[in-house]
Amino acid sequence: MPRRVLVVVPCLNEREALPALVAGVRALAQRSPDRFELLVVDDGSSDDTAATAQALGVRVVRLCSNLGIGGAVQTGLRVAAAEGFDCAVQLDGDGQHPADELPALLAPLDRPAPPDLVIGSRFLKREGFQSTPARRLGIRWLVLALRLFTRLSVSDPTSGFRAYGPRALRLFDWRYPYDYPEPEALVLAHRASLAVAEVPVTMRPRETGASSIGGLAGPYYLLKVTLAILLDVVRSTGGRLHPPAPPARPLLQPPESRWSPSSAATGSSPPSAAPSPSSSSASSPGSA
Amino acid sequence: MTLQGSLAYLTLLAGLVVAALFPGLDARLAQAMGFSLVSNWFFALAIAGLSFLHLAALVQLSRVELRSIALTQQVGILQERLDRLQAPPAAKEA
Repeated sequence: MPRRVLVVVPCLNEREALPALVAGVRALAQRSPDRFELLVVDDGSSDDTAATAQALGVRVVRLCSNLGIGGAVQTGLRVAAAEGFDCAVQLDGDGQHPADELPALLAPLDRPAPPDLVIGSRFLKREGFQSTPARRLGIRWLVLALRLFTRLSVSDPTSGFRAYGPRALRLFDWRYPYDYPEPEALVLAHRASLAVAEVPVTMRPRETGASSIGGLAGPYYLLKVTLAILLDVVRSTGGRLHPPAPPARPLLQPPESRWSPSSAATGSSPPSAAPSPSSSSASSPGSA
Repeated sequence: MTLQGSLAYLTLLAGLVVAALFPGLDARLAQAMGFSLVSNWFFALAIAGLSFLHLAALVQLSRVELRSIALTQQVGILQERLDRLQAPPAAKEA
């Protein structure tokens, strides 16, 4: 049975990189048994990223202010959780993550005991873009910190090329770190006893724009993330992290379960909390 | 002002009234706490009180910021739904 996969693309001024990214996902969707749906989350861009995405026929969530990468990614994951997608994939809007690698990223979710979170690691097969030496040093420190404090063994904790299963969607819909979120999200997943897996992927250098981690932001990033990991470890002594049960009538209801006066007139019941993925069309505006 | 804030200021004012009614009390308290000057005792109290208020304001600000992020996300998602609902039928089928 084909999976419904929401491809979440957090974007900040990525107008130029978007067309190639959308074309890549659409080309993959043509030959994949899975049903991909693209969702661009425009994190308060000052260029016409949102208009470009809309012109390409992609669903766009526009955030009225810049929330940072964590807030943008969580927005997409919240949509995936509310609309009952089987899984979600995070794909950077700057073109670093080739759509061709999506099958490799999703493959572990087909296992009999699938992981909840799959990370695309650029360091497992050491091909393609490997980041700058300074960043690799920082990544090594984070690998060491995660292993030391949480016993979590990952090779690329800063990778934003990730696939989220249903349990991860539920966790991150409830709670997701906002600043430099990737390593801290791993600690949250660890605290919630989610299974994390890594697959080798090939990444590319960003096509346009500039990274937010430059100059003094690099050391700040390392310090902040290390402290956040330590804080999460201290919190984890309080026990396992349990996301609360979804509310009986969530604000972010899937469109297919929406109640309307006409359905009331015909005796239809009000919306249920459980999403009904089967009734969602693959040919909706954002389908890849 | 919230009820908590009002109560805090009321307590502060009550303390000042007590200090004014019993002038020897603050000097005895300062001496008991190891302060040689009463004014230093007042400064220490003020610094401690302001630090507490600052911390409380930071906690409150963090909560408001988290709520603001959640609301921004919800507005964005609901706006996208609304746009889809209001789109002409041809665009919906595209």
